[in-house]
Amino acid sequence: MKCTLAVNLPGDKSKLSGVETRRGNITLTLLLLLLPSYTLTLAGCIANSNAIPPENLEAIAQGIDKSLICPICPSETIDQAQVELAKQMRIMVREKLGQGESRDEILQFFVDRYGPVVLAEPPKSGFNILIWLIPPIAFLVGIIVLVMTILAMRRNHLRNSQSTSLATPGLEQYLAQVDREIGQLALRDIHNWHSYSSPKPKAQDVGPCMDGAE
Amino acid sequence: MADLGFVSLLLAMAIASYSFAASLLGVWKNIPQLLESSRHATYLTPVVLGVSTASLVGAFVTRDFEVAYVAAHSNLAMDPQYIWVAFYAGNEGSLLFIAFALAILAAIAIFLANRGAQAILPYTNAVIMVVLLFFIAVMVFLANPFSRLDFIPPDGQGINPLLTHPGMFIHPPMLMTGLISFAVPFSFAMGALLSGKTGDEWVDQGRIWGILAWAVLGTGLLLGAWWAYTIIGWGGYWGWDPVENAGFMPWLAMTAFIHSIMVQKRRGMFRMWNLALIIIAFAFAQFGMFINRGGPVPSVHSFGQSTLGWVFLVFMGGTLLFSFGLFFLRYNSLKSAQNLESAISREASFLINNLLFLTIAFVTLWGVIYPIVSELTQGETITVGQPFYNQVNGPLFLALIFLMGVAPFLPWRHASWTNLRRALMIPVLVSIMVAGLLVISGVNKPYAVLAFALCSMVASGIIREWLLGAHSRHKRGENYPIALIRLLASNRPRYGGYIVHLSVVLLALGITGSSFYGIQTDVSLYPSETTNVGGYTVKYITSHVLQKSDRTESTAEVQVFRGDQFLGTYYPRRDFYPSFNMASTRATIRSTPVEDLYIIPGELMDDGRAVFRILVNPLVMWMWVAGPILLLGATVALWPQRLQPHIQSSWPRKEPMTT
Repeated sequence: MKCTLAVNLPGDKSKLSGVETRRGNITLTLLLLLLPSYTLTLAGCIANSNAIPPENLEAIAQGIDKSLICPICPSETIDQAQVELAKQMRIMVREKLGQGESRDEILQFFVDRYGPVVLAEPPKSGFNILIWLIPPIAFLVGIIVLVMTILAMRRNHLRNSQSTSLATPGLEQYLAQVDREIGQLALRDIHNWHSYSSPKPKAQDVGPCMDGAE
Repeated sequence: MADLGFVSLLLAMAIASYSFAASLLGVWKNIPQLLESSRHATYLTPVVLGVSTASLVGAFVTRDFEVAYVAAHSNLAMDPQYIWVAFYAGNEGSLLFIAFALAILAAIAIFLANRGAQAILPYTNAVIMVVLLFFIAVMVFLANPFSRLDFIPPDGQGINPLLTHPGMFIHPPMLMTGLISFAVPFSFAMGALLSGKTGDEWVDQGRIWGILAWAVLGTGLLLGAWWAYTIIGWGGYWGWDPVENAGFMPWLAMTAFIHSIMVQKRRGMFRMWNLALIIIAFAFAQFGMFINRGGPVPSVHSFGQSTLGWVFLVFMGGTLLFSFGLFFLRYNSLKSAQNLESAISREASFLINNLLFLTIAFVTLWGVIYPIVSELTQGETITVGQPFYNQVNGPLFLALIFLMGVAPFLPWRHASWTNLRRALMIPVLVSIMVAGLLVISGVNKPYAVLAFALCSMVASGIIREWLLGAHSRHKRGENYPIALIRLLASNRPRYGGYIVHLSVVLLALGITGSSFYGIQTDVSLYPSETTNVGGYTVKYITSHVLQKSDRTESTAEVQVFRGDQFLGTYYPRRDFYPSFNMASTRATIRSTPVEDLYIIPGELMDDGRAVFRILVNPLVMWMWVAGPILLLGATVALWPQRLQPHIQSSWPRKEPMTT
């Protein structure tokens, strides 16, 4: 059986991959933007946490309470803990605020007494800068791995689609074009899947004959 | 009776060992009778462990204080209804609970395994029996629930007062069941690796059990948050406590898994990655068990001080070595059927999903172990508390919400910008509108506004999809309500997923509202004194003190007004247990869709003043509403659908169109 097909053979293979490459580059750029967005947001969050809210002294005191760990309770802040020591510490925080001490001074006061373990989050200095740096670094590593994986997978895909050979060598380009246009058909299909009227196939959308004849 | 319990444990050990050996021997020597027999042995394990469980419960019922465990976790004054809780309140009992749960799950999994998995089933059975044997062996040799004391004490120590709350009937069981159920999809994956059938035979069962494990663990976590909110009495629901994190990390890994397994089911891709991912998820679950039992970091949850932690660490290490060893052995046979065609596609978005979830899990893990790192390197103890996790994980969660809004509209294989634009235009417009409205009406904390805007983007995208679909069905003659439901039924994984995403949006709303706009006050009031908090006026009337045999109950009576309008009388209660030197509170929570008024009673002072902590938490109710919706979505996604023939080809597959 002879099939009549009217397909525009792509003139240049590189033009095809040009489209793909541009799409891919945009996505890779977006992916790479993830990291600075994350780092900036993280930096913003950290800066925000140190900023003293422009509300009343009690709100500031509560903020400090939530930043100090009760020395004798397992991982409760002095805001949560109900033991006598925690209450005393809460009173001291408010006294010191009333005397005009800053948040950092008050926190340092307790660190001097109990050690850095009394802080609810690790200090952002010295060795402990490590805990803050590792997450963005890990994220960066993850993004790099992801990007490399996507690139490798796409390279595999292009290599595989190039290596499928049929009897006639000239058909490869034609098959690639058909493959691409079927992909577009699929997109239109998905867009129309809610409705039940299928689009009428145009002449150039018809695929190769199934019985192997050209 | 306790002896019967111990004997049953030994019997269970024997039966599980037999099942393990018979299934391996049966598949190696090709003896179907042995395979059959091993399956029967697996079905027998829950029966025998059930006997064990019954005998421990029986020991509680008969107040057999000679059994050490019963003496440690109950007393004569204990309300009989709490026997169920006491059963798993301590180390040994919880191990028995876990073993029993695992045996039941194993029997069901083996029994219901579909035809596709039959080839790998003997190996799956062997692996799951090994896990079961581990727990039974720990009980038999290290932590026997039935060990006896040298004498019979007249009374027990009683149950921890924090556990005497309805939430405790269901939160620990769900959490423990959720964690151990990770063993099932893991076993199917191992079965695939062991049998050499590294295609997609394990994917169907892996997906089903993955979603089940995810749903159960997720519910357990939510219940824990709800319990913490209602009973611990600090007005919060999540503290990034090491034990909370222990359950959270596996859940994150499993969420990543149930997404990427979809790609393997649909297109035969990510074969290697999914195997690695389920191994990681199970390892997190084992790590979680390690932290929960005599873990190296302090926690409010301390699960009956035990030194069993190292055993679980060894178990985790051994499992990782074995699984990844096998993985690399089979590496070359694990090529995927398809390859990624475009970086903008559903497949690629799942990879980004995995990246985000695993980064959050890693950050959480890092925060949990950092105190140990600091101790070892600096000799200094450091606390890693809530502020660290909030700041570092917050942006990642926001990115996830964004992805949730975009990814469902990405087609498989490759997307075009035009289609994407068309699908996302309305959701993006809605989110900008919402952001604008919020800022105009005074809600202007940037991260809160961003979070709310992203949530509205997700929600409007889902609703729009649903309406579009119902509309086209309507055009063919169905009326809208039926169309909405038939649409759901016609593509259950997709719409189940949409429902789950909606529940996540509700969760995000509650978390954002309470985190950024919560108010808190500590007051001490004389009778008839009032205080104003966040638009409410709270008036303290009086307190009633009741002395019980093991506790003092102080119930305060308060009246709440908004302006002149009387809203109600409430009775927050505080129970003090002298023997535990601990107080448990029943805070008053007046919940509306907009906010919660939360009154925590403190002590009654000698001069008649009562101390209260009053909080106003916006939007928290939606977090608890999200729970059942999450379960509904998971159920819909799992509901069996008429199977489509599985065609592996590079031709596009149409969505199933059913009438």
